[in-house]
Amino acid sequence: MLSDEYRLSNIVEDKDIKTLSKAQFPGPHCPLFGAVMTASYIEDLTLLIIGTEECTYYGKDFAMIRQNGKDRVYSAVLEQHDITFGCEEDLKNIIKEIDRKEKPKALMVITTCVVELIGEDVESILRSLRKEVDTKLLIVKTEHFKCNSHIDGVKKALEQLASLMIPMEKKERTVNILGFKYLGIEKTELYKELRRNNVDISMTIPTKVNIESIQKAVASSLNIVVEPTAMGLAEEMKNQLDIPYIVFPMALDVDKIKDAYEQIGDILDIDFDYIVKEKYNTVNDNLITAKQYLRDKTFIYGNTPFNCFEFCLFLVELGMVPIIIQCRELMKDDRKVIDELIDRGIDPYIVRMANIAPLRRIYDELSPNYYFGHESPMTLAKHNIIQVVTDNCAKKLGFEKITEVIDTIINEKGIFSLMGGDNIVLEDKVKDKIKNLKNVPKPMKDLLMNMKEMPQGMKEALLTVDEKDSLIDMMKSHGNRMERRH
Amino acid sequence: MKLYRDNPIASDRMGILWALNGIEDAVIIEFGPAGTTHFSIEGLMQFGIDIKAKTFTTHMDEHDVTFGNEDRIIDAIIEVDLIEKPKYLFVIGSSITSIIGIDLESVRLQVQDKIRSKIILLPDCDFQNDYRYGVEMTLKILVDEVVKNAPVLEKSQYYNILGLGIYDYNRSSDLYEIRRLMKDNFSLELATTFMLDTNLESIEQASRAMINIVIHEEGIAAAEILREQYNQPYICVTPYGIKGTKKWLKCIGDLLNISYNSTDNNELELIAYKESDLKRRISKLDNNRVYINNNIHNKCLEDYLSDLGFKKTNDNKKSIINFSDGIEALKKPNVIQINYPSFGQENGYQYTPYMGYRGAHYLAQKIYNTITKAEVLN
Repeated sequence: MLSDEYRLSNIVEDKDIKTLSKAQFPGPHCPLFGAVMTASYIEDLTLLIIGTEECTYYGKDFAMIRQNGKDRVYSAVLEQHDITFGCEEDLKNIIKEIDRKEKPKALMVITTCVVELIGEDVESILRSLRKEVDTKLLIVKTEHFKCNSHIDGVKKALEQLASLMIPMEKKERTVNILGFKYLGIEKTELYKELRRNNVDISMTIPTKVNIESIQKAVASSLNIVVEPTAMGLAEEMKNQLDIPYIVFPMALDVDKIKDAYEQIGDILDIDFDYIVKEKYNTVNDNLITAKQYLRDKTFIYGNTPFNCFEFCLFLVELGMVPIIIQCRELMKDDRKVIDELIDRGIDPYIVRMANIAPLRRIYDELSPNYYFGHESPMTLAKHNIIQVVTDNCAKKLGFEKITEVIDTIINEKGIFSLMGGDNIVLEDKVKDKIKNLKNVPKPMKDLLMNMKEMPQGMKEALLTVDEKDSLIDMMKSHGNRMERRH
Repeated sequence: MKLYRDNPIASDRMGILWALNGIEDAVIIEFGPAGTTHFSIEGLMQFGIDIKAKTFTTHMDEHDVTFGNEDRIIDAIIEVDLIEKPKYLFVIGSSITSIIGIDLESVRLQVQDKIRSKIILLPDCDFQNDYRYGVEMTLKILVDEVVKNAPVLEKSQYYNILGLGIYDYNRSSDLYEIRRLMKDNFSLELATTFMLDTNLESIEQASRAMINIVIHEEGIAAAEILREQYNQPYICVTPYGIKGTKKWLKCIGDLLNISYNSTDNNELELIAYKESDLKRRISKLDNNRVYINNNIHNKCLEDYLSDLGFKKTNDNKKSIINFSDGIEALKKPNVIQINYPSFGQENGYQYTPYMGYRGAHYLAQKIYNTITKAEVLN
């Protein structure tokens, strides 16, 4: 199934990355998903999705779940007549109706595959409406046949937010954090260090924002970009509003993190030397310890919140050996990292991500020690592969991110580490219970016994379950759901 | 173009995929952008079931769209045939392939001789019909391509169900109650439902059934084909309430020309008492208007509610009680959920039917309590 044409050394451009099979399951998410995900962080932003019943129904569904039924998503569903003759007049009337009835502060219009396919120029339609409606109109195009994943939709949705901003006087020592997609920015190292030096964080986007805070963010004197999808927004804010930005690296590279702190320090006039003294050497010591444990261990890269090649280079530096890297799409900055991997004699197979079905058929043949990313824990357990899921590591910013990744690998935190917030170390009584369970196959018992941490809810479920009950369905259901969430 | 504040009405294509995903061993390939498939697989989670059918996607890029390239679907069919070895391979296009005019029939002709699976083509989306039409088409296709593909079996003590799918809100409990009534009253076993907790082998054996029970109208067209082909009579009545269930059982008995065993009289008496009690209460209400969500088309439900003493209204703000979807049910105390969409709600417990005698009991109780809630909170 895998031939040399899949090797990293043969990848020059994105089209060189092949799918492992022609029939994909489940396939990547589309840009519509990315755009709705990003926009639904902003509580008072109204969305209008234009497309088929299917795209609008599922887009609405997704937003509703994310926002606990409090979403502001409208659907404009195309009918046969619209496909043939266009939908300009109808769309204008719909936008005017939303403007009149809901009076939204801003309306993000999201077009989907069919709208772009029939060549409807929604951008011009919105431009022609700007004087007729009070709401600010934004547009995000999400045709999936022009890209390979949801990332494009995330980038475009973020970029559009710049159009909500109007120039205003700058405030000293006030910054925005761009691209942080999780709750709990206050708990991150970067945030704490900024606050410790009396820096105000005006806006963290896309989380913790509403339209008012987005507008006020213009007063900040610096943007700190913590995730590549926010680069477009940073560029827009630099060009339109003259706000400089620095990139705080996602890469797990101590020197780049040190440099980023120094750059922020230079702009905001802060001496961050103390952080470097405190943390730089500690992280380096952790890396040396991890190397001893992970040397020569092999892995399949599935997905992480990090850039796939940068993450793999980090693991290679720890002495690990990639067998397969599943790649979403080749980014323009990947070349340098790819060359570095090849220079080190690392030449794994590269396949397009989100197609795990064919990969499962060769797990035994490849027999990796680790799988990084979302997969059914049951499937991996059957092949004696240790699952590591690093989603929670992206919630860290700074040197702490590297520490968290190492901890996640060493402690073999799999997909169940994402369930619940309070991880509890396995107690003897839980282990005894697992041992005594009757209708549980050995791989599942091994999986449970090897969990060094377990969410509280799962521990309670295990302790209360009857020893003769079958856990297979329960575990499968959890596994499938977690897998599909990816 | 139609504007929706809530979920739009699901399309024919969605109905096709919902119907097929109720068949455990169905293997489906979609020719379209991958995100459509990923979204639809996740969308099935709202139904709260463990999907065993396999849905693959080919994905499409700009080149495929511009030049109408069919290579991806041909390669995918050959690969899935080789690896999954399904007896039947369902192939469906997408909105994009419909617009650019991909001819899936020509794809089938090109590839059918090269594979062992029988390709079953599903209709293109037509941008005008809803999911019930998609379900109707799928049921007809299953009868034409799967049942007729199999040997005709001698009739025995079986029945089929048509028009009850994973997308029906109370399907687990209603299916359980229907099976109970059919077993207790006619000693018949379920052969297949065609699209719920079933498999392709059971569907192939549908000709052995003595009768087809059509629960919702989308099953009628397939039932007509089965009647013509296998001389199977069918009944299309949804058994709501005592009166509705009695009528349903009588129709089945008449069609089969057998007298049926009556259900436990003590239980029936209690249910009749509860239903009468509810009727008395409704007759005393100042507001006895009931609203049924526009997406629900079921005359039997309307007849049942009318028989209880409700008057139907098209204004959900003037009704005392609403029958609607899970979203409205989450937000309003006077809503009884009867269809999807829904989120964050489990409904797997299978002993709370709306249909049949026990459904009459449970629904009477639910309506009674919902009226109380509506009165307290108003």
